[in-house]
Amino acid sequence: MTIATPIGNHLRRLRFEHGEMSQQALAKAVGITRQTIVALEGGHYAPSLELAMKLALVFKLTVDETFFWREPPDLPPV
Amino acid sequence: MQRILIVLFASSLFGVVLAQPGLDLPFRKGLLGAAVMLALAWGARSHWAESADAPEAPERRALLSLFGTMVVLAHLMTSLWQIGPAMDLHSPASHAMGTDSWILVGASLLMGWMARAPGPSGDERDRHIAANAMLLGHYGLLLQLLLFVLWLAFGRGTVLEQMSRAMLAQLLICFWIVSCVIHEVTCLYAYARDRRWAGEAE
Repeated sequence: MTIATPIGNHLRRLRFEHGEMSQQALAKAVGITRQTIVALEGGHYAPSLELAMKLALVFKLTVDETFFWREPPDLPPV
Repeated sequence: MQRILIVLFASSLFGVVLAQPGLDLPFRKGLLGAAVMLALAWGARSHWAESADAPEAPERRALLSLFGTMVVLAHLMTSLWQIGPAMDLHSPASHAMGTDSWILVGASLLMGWMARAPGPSGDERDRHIAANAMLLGHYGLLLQLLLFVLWLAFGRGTVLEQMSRAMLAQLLICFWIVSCVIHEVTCLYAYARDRRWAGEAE
């Protein structure tokens, strides 16, 4: 049984669209370990805002274009 | 999980063997323990350098630290068992145990240092895992202390009454080391779980 975070991402697809970038290369670009990229792509780890912004920056995208809610939480109306 | 259990079993066994009075050597037993621990760390480091799917630096550190910490704990507990509850801090047996323990602690710290690897020494996920492990280690320590306090309060007629202050102090040190073991095991369990999940995803 695996536990997924409520936040998904397009990292795997983005890597392949950017010259089949390896997990190691992406990890090095943002200064994290390859295992963290594996955990992110598997949806088992939700990154900090800083790491999310760094990852989006690598692909010249915004955080919203890189990460998404699997199921948005029900928030009370403001 | 299997790897964690193997490390726990092997290190405990090694610590117990090191504390055996029958193991008669022309030099300190702690030195033999330190030599074996450092050789093991060196071997693991060489193996990981050639392995394509070697663990990252924080996991290596946790694995070797668990081995070292468990050797120290097993050696200390076995020595205390042999010395007995009325332990005198200034006896040859206590001095030998103390010297060997400190040598093993030094080797354990060196093992952690030898686990270093190229690349980042850790990132936010490692810090997150370490924070959870620290919390569990903390609760483990609290639980041991709670049980110990209850024993101190209500343990009349038990072995407690024969225990010297030195023995009580050593027991508290054991509790601290156990909490370190809980910390390392929790870290390694989290890394193993993540790897299993990654395997299932592929």
